[in-house]
Amino acid sequence: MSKTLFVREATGLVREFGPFMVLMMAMNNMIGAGIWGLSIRMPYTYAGSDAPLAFIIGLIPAFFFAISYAWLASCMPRAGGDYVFISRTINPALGYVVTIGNFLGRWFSIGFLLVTDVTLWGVALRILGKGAGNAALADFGTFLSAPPDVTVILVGAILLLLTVWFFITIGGTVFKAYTAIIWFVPLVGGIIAILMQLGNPFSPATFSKAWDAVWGTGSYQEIVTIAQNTGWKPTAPNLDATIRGVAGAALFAYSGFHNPAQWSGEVKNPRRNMLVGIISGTLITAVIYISLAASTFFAGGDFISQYNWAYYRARAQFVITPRIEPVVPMFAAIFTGGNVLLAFLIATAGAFSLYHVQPAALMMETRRVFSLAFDRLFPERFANVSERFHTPTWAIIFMVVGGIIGIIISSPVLGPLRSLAGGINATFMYLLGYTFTGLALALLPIVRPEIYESIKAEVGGLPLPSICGVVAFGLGLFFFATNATVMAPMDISISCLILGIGLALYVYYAFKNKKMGIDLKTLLSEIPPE
Amino acid sequence: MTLKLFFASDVHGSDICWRKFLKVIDYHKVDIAILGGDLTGKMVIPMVRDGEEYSYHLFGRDVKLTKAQLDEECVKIANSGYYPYPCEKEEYERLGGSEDAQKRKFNELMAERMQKWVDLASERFKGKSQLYVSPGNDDRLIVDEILEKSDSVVACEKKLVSLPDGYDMVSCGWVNPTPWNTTRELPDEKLEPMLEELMTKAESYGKLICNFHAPPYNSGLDIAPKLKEDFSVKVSVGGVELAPMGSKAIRHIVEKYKPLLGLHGHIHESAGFRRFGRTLCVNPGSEYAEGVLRGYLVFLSGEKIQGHWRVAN
Repeated sequence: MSKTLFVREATGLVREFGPFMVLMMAMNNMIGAGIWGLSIRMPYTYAGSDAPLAFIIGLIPAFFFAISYAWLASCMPRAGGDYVFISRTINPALGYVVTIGNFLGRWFSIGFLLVTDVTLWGVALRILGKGAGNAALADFGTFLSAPPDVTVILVGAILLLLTVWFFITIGGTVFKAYTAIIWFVPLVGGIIAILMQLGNPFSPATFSKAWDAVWGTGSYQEIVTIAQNTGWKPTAPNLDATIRGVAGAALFAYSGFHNPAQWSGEVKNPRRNMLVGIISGTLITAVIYISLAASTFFAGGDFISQYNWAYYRARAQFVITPRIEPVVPMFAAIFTGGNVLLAFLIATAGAFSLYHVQPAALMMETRRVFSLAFDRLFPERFANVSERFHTPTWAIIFMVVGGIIGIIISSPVLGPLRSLAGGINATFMYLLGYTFTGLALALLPIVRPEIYESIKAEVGGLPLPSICGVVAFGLGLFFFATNATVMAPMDISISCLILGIGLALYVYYAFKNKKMGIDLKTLLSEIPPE
Repeated sequence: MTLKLFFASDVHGSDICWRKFLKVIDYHKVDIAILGGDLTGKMVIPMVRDGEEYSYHLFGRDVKLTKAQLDEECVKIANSGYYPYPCEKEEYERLGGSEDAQKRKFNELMAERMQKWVDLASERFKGKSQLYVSPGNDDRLIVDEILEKSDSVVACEKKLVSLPDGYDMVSCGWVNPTPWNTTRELPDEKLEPMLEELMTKAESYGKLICNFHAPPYNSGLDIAPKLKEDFSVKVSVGGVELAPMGSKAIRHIVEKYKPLLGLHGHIHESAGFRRFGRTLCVNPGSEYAEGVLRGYLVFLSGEKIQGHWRVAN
């Protein structure tokens, strides 16, 4: 077997990109989204659901979505992401509409995550303050996590977003240091949380003592009483609720796996390293998610459900307990036996996790904005790159402004209008992207055989990527429909309206470009070479 | 009057990309098509015969095939930009043992493909001035000879060529230094005088197109991963470390002379456009290994850019 390739001295083909680096980049993009907030709320949001099981089941579609993205990105490394995968393989209008839906879904996701993040930072500071005997710090933490005025959450979330903007704009060594901190702290804190909770199986006597030590004497009993008085009853576990939890929570948490694959062009061992790195990153993330969810419910028992119920139904009655929206660190940090450092690490793990996904997410969405601007399907301004910072200034501003809108929508500021404006369901949009990316992979060997060539693999004579793509497409449709069943009708309507706006924009730009003699279909469709 | 042009770059030997390039004028209904540098491929793939079978190694895979499958496989390899070389075991060992022999074999295969390309172009474009081709830093000088002799493409390297509707174009495939010590590299201090001399050939700059292979320094069209000494990519928790790799000389020239349009390539990852005052600079990027012809459609009207669109065919 000839192993030698005669490589010219003048080549970029010696570049190496190890799988460990890819793995780190994939995990950096994933961990932090839904695990610290959504998982702990599942007993209320999806009554009867089993959160750890939801993350186990959720790994199956996540795996197929990850592999779809990994494969497509490794054979089209400079394509620019799912907008081009879908446009190039299925239809440009579909790619465009899905992309618009994803930006806007990201606005809401930024908002939701950062609004929750203010709470987490409040929890962290309160824990640190109490543990260190600093009353002022503890009070400030309580102020942030359960503020008397909801404007505090709004301002806090916007400030967090502005720090993200600052760091991704300046880049360089400062950004590297910033990214290292926001990546390692949640990883360490998450592992500590898992270990602490596994060592403390739930029993009312021991749990209540630990809880009261952190949240106030009598807090545990207060919550239990309020829950029972307002109609809480244990709900029998049911698979249907768990499946809805997969769609609404677990898949949200697993999003973000494909970011590294854009670098797979012209490297020494490209496809294998990319696939190995992205898939192992997804699997390791799954282990962390499942362990964290399982350990939290193992240690928290029915109290988690009671707390959710009491908070969402009757938090006005809380006197002792701070009115903090349920988050994992609230529960995990009580098991550190008074060790302030450990408690703070757990609490900041949660806070950093919701925060650290923002820079990668913002950059990913700005690339989508770029692609549209290059294809003249979005204002040209959004393709400008700052000469000083090498960052796409206007595209980032666009996403930051959108994030602020998302924060306003997600915060309690809007009051009753919140349910109307909050209808842009992020999971709805992401699942659309995953579903059609699966379809793009399935069709690739047929519609773009020359691109498929570099990832060619067959099982029983059938293209393996197509098999995986079909599975991804099917699972995507299933969970898309399942997610829709847990959405309010108004939310479905608003999400569909957003997609309609996306289509209207496409038609507008198609006509605008047509007047200049450009048929948009020809920009991305293949020239027949023969 | 509008001049509609298509520009692509860095096809790196991809057969399918060349064939698509030849179809661009009809497909996109443009007046001219310009192909920037780095025309030649980067690897020879020896396909060693063993009895009735051949075997080769590519993209991390070991492939065995029969004689009947050989032609089709060679087409696929050529479409990725590489040079398939079916050979006997002795020949493979001979090449493996001699860098000079490898270099000569590269030259031979590059010239063969380049000649095949211009012959293909001749079928439709003989005697016409619609295809403009220039080499880049990766291309050996033998490419220039073949282009100059062609009756179907206009060879542009280090010349001022006239385009329809009163537009002119100057081309230069030389770049600032890269880690790979390629054929056409010069430090910016020496590159700039070369470009200055080229620019003096133009009578005016209002309708001048500069087809310079390297993008202007720090233009956003030249951002590439940083490399360590062993050519591995520098990655940190912040992601891949990037830096501008373009030419300061080219940037000075663009800013000084303010041509209408800058056409660039060289940095495959850095597709995009950038305005320097009135000058629009574009880099279409490259996806040659995937058989995708990345390009830019640019419509010119007088001394203005009427529109520009990135394409991926």
